Order: sequence, then C-alpha cells, then structure tokens
Amino acid sequence: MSSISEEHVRKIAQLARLKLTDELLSAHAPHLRKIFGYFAQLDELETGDVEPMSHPTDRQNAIREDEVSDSIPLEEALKNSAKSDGQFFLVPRILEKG
Amino acid sequence: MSHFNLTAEELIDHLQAGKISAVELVEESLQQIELFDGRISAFLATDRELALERAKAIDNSRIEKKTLGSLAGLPIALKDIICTRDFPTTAGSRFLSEFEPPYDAHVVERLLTEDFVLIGKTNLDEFAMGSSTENSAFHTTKNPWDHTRTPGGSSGGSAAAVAAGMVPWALGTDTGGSIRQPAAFCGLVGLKPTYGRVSRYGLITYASSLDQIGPIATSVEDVRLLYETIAGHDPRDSTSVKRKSEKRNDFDFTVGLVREYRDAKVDSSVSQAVDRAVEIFQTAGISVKDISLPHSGYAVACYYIVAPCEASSNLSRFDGIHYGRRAENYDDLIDLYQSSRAEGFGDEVQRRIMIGTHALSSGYYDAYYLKAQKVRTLLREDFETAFREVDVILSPVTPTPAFNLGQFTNDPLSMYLTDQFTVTANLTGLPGMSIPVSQSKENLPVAVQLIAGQFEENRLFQAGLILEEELNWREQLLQARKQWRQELEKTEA
Amino acid sequence: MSEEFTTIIGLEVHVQLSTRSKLFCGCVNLFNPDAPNSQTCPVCLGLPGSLPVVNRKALELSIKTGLALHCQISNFTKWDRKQYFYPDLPKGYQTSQYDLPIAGIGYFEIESDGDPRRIRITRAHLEEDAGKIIHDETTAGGPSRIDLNRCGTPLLEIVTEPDFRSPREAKRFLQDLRLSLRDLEVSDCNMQEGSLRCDANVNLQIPSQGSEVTTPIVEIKNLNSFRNVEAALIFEQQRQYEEWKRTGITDNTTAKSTRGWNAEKEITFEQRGKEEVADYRYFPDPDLVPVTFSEEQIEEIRKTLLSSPLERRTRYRDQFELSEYDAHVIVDLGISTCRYFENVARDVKDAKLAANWITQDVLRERNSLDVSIEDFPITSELLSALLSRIHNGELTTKSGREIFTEMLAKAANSESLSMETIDEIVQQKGLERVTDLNVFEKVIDQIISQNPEAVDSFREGKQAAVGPLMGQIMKQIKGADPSLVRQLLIAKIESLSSS
Repeated sequence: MSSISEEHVRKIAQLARLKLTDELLSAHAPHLRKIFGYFAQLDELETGDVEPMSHPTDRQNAIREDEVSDSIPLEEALKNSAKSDGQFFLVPRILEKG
Repeated sequence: MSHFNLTAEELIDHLQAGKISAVELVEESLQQIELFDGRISAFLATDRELALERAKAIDNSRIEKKTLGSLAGLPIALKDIICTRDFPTTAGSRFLSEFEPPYDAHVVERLLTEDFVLIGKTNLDEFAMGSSTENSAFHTTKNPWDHTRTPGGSSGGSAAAVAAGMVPWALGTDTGGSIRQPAAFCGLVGLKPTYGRVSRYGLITYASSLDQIGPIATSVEDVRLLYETIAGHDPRDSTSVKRKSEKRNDFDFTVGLVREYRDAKVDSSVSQAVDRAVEIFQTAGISVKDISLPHSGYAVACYYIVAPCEASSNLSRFDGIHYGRRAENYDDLIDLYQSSRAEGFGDEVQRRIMIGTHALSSGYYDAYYLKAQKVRTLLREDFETAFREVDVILSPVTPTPAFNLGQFTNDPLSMYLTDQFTVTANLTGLPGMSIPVSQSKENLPVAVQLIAGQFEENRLFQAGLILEEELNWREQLLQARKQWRQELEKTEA
Repeated sequence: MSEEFTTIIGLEVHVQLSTRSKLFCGCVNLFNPDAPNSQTCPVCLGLPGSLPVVNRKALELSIKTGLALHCQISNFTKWDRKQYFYPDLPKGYQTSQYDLPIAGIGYFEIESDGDPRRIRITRAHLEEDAGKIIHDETTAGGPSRIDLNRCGTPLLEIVTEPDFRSPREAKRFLQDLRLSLRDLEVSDCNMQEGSLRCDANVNLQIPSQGSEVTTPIVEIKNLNSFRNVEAALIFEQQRQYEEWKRTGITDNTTAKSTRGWNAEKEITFEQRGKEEVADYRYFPDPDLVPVTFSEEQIEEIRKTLLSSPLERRTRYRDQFELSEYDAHVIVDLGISTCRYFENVARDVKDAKLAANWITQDVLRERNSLDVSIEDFPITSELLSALLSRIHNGELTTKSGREIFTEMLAKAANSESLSMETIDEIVQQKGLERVTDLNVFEKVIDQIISQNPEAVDSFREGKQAAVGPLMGQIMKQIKGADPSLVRQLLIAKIESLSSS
C-alpha cells in the first residue's frame, strides 16, 4: 500500500474532519506517500501467530466502586465553550439525525 | 552566583537549614527568566504573583515550624501539556490557546502536596508531536548551547529552561523520546519512567499506550527525587500500576550493547560517547557484553503507526463544540468541525491525524495498526531475551547532537528517523534515561541512553551515578552557563 | 402472519443500567432534564487529560442480564472505541465493545399462540451513552442545544437474531424483557425517560414464482413506546409488501435503509441518508485495561437471578391454577408483588382467594396510597392471617373487607399493625362469625314477630319483602353469613305458614 492518491487523502481528511484546501492537499500527499512507503518494511515480518500488544503492562481489572462523586458546577462545565447560553452548549441547527 | 548552580538536592538542604528562602529561589527563577527567556523562549506562561505568594506562604510556614512537604519551596516548570487548574494549558496549540482546565493533573496535585512552587508552563511541540519544539503554535524555543539549534522536542521548553538555569528542574513528557532527546540536546539528565508508574490523569494525551510524564534535571539524584515524588498508583488512571520500582541496593549489574546499533549511522561524537561510557563501566568493574535486539530496525515504523493511530482518536475530542477554538465562519455542522480543526491544528498534527485515521480505517486496519501492535510484541520479546543476559542496555539517544532549527521542515520522515533509539522504550513500556557524557566539536552536549527492565528505574539510577561521578559533567554545564551570562552581558553593554 | 408474506424482525434494544454513577466516572446517573449540564465532570465532558475508570456495578448488572438471557458470559472482556463525530459525543468516539462483548449468544422465551418460542440473542455489550441534543422546533435556523447530563451513563445494548415473525411477538418480547429487567433491578426500562430504547430491523420473505424473495431490510428508529413498536412494524410490513408488488426490488439489489416512525401520522418515513457510510475505525481503547471474571464471581451473580415472567405466569397457571388473566396481572405487577402473592397463596392454601384480594383490594389501596408493595401497610403475613380466617369460615368476606379497611385506617393514623390488630378489630366490631344456630333462631324469631306485614308480604310471593328483615337481623348478628341467614329466615317463614 504505497500509492496514496490525492483523492484518497481527501477522503481521509473528510473522515478526520480536517478541511484541506487543494494547496494543502497537494502539500500533504507526497509526505504521506513517503511515510506509508516507509511502513511497507513491516511486511517483511512474519507475524501470523503473534499476539498484538494493546497495553505495555499486564494491568487488568482497574475497576471503581459504584459511588457518586461531585460533578463540576455548571459554570465550569460551560466555561471553555465557544458558544453557550448559560445552560446548554450551542451548535448550529442540526437537522434530525439521519 | 546563581542558586541554581546547586542541585535541587542541595537546595533542599539549604532551604531546610534556613540558609535560603523560597522567595529568594523564586525571585532568582524569575530573574533568570527575565534575563534569558527573551532569547530562549522556553516559557509560554509564568505567574509571577502566584509563585511569590506561594513562596512567601511556605517561608512563613517554615518559620512557624508548620509541617511542610519534603521538597517545599523548590521552583519547578511544567510542560504545557499538563493540566493546571484555572491556569492556561495550551498543549502548544492554537486550538487550546484560551483553554483553562477546571482541574489539576495528578502530578500537579502531588507537587502541590509537597509544596513545590510552580513557576510556569513551558513550550512544546504541539500536542507533543515533534522532535524539535518547532511545531509549537506560538514560538520556537532555542537551545541555550547554540541559539541556531533546537533544544529538542517535544519537551524542548522544559529542557531549555533547566539548562539555562531558569529552574532547577522541570517535568516533561515522553512518547517516543520527548524527554530523553531534549535532555540529551541540552546536557541534562532525563527519565522516561516505566509505563504506568506515573499517572496520566490530567496529561493531555498524545498516545495513550506510550505517554509518560517524567523529570528533567541536572543530576541523577535530582531526577530520582522528582521521579519518586510524582510516581505511584492513581485510581483515576486505569493504566496506572500499583507495583513500585524494584529496590536495588547492590551495584551488581551488567550492561549490554546493542549489536544492531553498531552499524547505525551516527555522528562520531555520539559513538565516542557510547565508547566512553563503556570504558567507565568496565573500569568500575561492570561487565559489558553484546546483546541483540533483532527487531529494533522496525521500531520507527511501528511507532509512527501506533502513535498517530492513538493520537488521531485522542484528538477527535477537539471539535470546537465543548471547548477550545471554534471557527468564526462555517456553513453547517460538518464545516464547523472541519474549519475549527483546520484552523486549530498545525501541519504536523494534521499529518499525524491523517496517518492514524488511514491506518485505522476499514480495509487498512490489519495491514497497519494490527501489524504494528504485533511488532510491538516482537520488540518486547527482544528485550525480554536481552534482559536475561544483562540488566541495563546502553545505546545512543540520538544519531547526532542538537540539529539546526529548520533542518527538517520539509522532510518529516527524516525527522521521524532520528527517534530510532528512543521509541523502543515507549513501545515496550520500559524505563529509559538519558545522561550527558561529553561535548561535540561544536561544543554541543552529547549523551547516552540507558534502558532497563520494567520497574527497574533504580538500576538506571545506579548506572547513571557511576557515569556521573566519573564524568562530573555538571561542571561543564555550569561553565557553559557562566559563558552564556558573559555573552549576554556583552551584548547588553 | 399473512399468507402473502412472512415478516422477519430483529430488535436492537438499549437498556440504561440502574447504577448510581455513570459508567466511567462518578457523576450521578439520574434523569434530570431540568438542570442541564449539572451532572458532568472532566471525564464525561471529554476534557483533555481526563481518563475513564469502569464502574463495577455496571459490569455486574450486565452479567446478570446476560445470565437472565441465557448468554455465554465472557471471562475476559475489553473495550473498544467506536469513532464518529457528533455534537452529543464530546470525545469524538464512544467507548463500547466490539469483538469481545461481555455477553455472547443466548435466548429469551416469549409466548406465541400458546407455546413458548425462543428468540435468540446475538450478544449484549456495554457502552456509554451520548448526551442529548435539543433541536429548536420554533425559530427556523435557531441553534441546537446540547445537554451532557446523560453522556457517559451505562447502556447495555441487546441484539436479537431476526427471529420474530410478527409485530406482536416483538411487542411481547419487549414487555417481558422490561418486566424481567425491572424485577432484577437492572434497569427501570422507562421508554418515556429513555432508559429503554428500541430500534427494529424488518423485512419480508415473499413466495414468488416457485421460490422465495426477500425485501431489503429497513431499520426503524425513533420508537418511543411498545405500542408504537408494534404499530410501526405493522405499517412497515404492509408498506414493504406494497412496494415490492410495485417495484419488485429485493435485498439483492438494495442495501439496508433507515426509516423513522411518525406516531401522529402513523407512517414510517425515509430518513435523511447519511453522507458517507460510517467507518467507525474500531480499535481497542488504550486508556482502559481488560476486565476478567472468575467462574465464582459469575456464579455469585447467577444466585441473584429470578424466574422469568413467562416462567412465573406458567407456574401460576399450572401450580396455583390461576386464570390466564390473573396470572398476567400479578406477574405484570412485578417480582415484589409476585412474592407477596406467593406468600399469601402458600400460607392460606387458597391461591384464587389470594389472587382476588391482591389484584383488587390490595392493588386498589396501594395505588391510592401511592406506595410500593414493600411499603404497603398490610404485609403478606397480615393478609395471610386475614384471608386464612375467611378461607376457614371464621370470617365472612364482607367482614374481611371491613377489617382490611379498618387496618388501613389505623396505619394512616400511624398506628402499628400486627396479628393482634386483627383480633382487636374483630372484637371491637363484633365480627366473629356467628355459627351458633340457636343465636340465629332467637334473632330470626324476634325479627319475624316484629314484622308481621313483611312476613305476610313474602308469603304472598313478594320475595323482596325479606330484604329489610335481613337488614335488621344482620345488624344484630354482624358476623353472620348473609346467605345462611337468608336460608334460615325463609325456612322459618315457610315453616310458620304451614302451622
């Protein structure tokens, strides 16, 4: 998988919700191609039977008891929001979710 | 004579003996920042009043013989990716330029309990993605040793601040080498602890299974002190471990040299530093033998898949809706997301998000993410085998000393490749420490890296102490500082 | 089921678990639309640097549900991130379970035309809920508002195989599932508050030209009551049939689509198509570590299971010989009422009597007091004592009801009730059942002699003349069985006439 077309980059950017101008797209594409080209070396390794490592330690069962702890006050919850009305976070009108 | 010519360890003694006050230390810190930071630009934010207030309170408590934390009164700087309550925490990003967390990170709570004084937040590569601090949205930090060079990254601000004598020590974070490499470039000791030893609660996450917070200081003992202050289980972090570092009182250990690194293309100053370290160990009666890490050549590819994958997911929360920058102009909801994120994130962050998004996407997951996670297992097995033969692995930190600012602007892949020696410790969760050894022809610091088994930080400290005692590197740092001061006075005159 | 087609239905049910706190943080798990964004913290807000820690009770309730659904319980379970952008999802991903759900294949039995039918469960997994978006229905173009109180509450997603063959079956399943989960205290399954949500997948199998075709699968969302689930499915199956007759489109050529249900117009309607097919980019959540359960832990939870509503109804019909109707009413009232009933039925040895009193008197009074059966002043022991005396003839039903009412009055007066209370009331009101025929005779004779006109009237054929005489007699012998008194009275009058 070494050829990443500009169309592909556009799709990835859309999935990641990044707005790319045509300029930026053209700038990113060659770097991404090179980088993914570099990743191809991993194909040399035989890993059929190898377990993937999701966690570097064998920690399990980090569980918390079902106890209520204090929530943060409304003002703090909304404090860093770009747009709120003192009660809710506000976003541009959303049409019913399809 | 600057107070910070003394180590933190020594300063604690002075503080406790009443020979020096916290206020004096904070004032010194603020003075040094005023003097040097115009050129170095290590800091993003300082809080003068708050720092002095705290210092005063600590001094009063000491006079009144009230109980104080063991390290009370010492100034510290924090990489601006660690949340500090009601104080700007930007992660070096335009996205969070106005963000004030409503809570403190776990490590900050620990520091406050020990009565440290927080001087300010230091510069970094945006969201810890980078090896030069050039990816900061705000400004570039210079290496105090040579202002045309990088202090390293992503914890470049912390390293520069300590090297330049603005604070005795600082916290950075390390995901692929971001403590060890800046420490190496700035002539300091830097530790990435065993994964899980330091809580990530309140650390703005780059790569969840790789990130660790760690100390940067001017001596091994200082690093150890600071590490022990911040390490320990935190129930708010599911990946935080309960196990402590193994106690090691004997100096009975062996050192390994990585066969595969022998042919790596490194600067002659770097290979000489490694040789010097070998010499010192052998003279001290510590045996040095060859070990093999057969899959180490694949580590960079492995890292640059895993880290961007996790990052692409961790950074999805930056959508402009609940916090952070929101674009001014947008057509609809999707445009709001796209514009806010495009405006808020720099190039490197966008690049890594795209790498990660692609590597996790349908049809590519197996070939990239899953594959990389398997290679991690192979790497861990490499180290497990090696650690049956030796206790500590010695290697370079980076292929060269500090590189020039702007050197890799158009070549991200080449910048990635400079992480070849450091990413292995993150991928396998092992502790790693960088320790300065010598100077290059250009008078830049050159360091070596020590890696040990999980929970074997004390082995790292032991090995580090042996090198430190023999080299007395700190003298060179103090000499350099003297020189920088003289140069500064010259230009001001 | 029609002869023209077979309906195939599968359900996806989301159940909000009854934990005190949220799934990954300590914020309270409470339906609270009046104080938006007051139940949040850095974790459920998805603030940078926050980290999740899983709630033990959510795990236990999930295992309990899985066991009740006869699912295989995984000894090892993990968390995965389901990634998509939406304003009610602050992290930009939902922490869920992808390939190792906490509960695997199972089944749940429902009644269908008499015989119980097994509906297969595909899986049940734990995930966190998103927040709530309130759309501005008034001003055109007004902003939408987001409330994150609900964000992070624990959801159990239960998926069935497409085993339902009629909308009615789907409704029955939901009703019994709801009862079951309420009995087990897993969830309060309140569709109005959103603690139970349901999407349905439906398509048809149509015999055509010697073989069979299937219509494209439709997913129906926005169903907010069991009645609506049934109504929507009834509508949709017909709509799909008409559509197929008109267009001939089968699922070979068309992918699954989504429709909403408009309860007012009573139609399903096509929903805005998604711009892209979602690529959720699932991967294991690196901020959470796996969870393991031992067989012992699972067994401990298994001990807390109850019989299913279907099992209980069957048992009440078979063992207690209750009518279908009575069995349904009692089981529908929930496990506590069932326990109450079984205690009384067992103690009194008269299930029918117990059922009558519980479905009528107890239910009525409990409703008017607005308390749960556990808080109802007349315990099952007390009711048993009362009904036993009715059952063995010591008290008439009428007297029983008087005592019942009096006990409730005492309770309302903050007086405590005990077995002795029943005796006291019986004494006070003279309600001992009088069985001594001599006593009857005396009183009857007395009343007859006092009322000659009524007696004559009766002898002339006016049956109703006996009424007032009865009243007078009953006033004097309160504990009398009215039918016995009437019998004796009439016999006495008739015997008089012959002399």
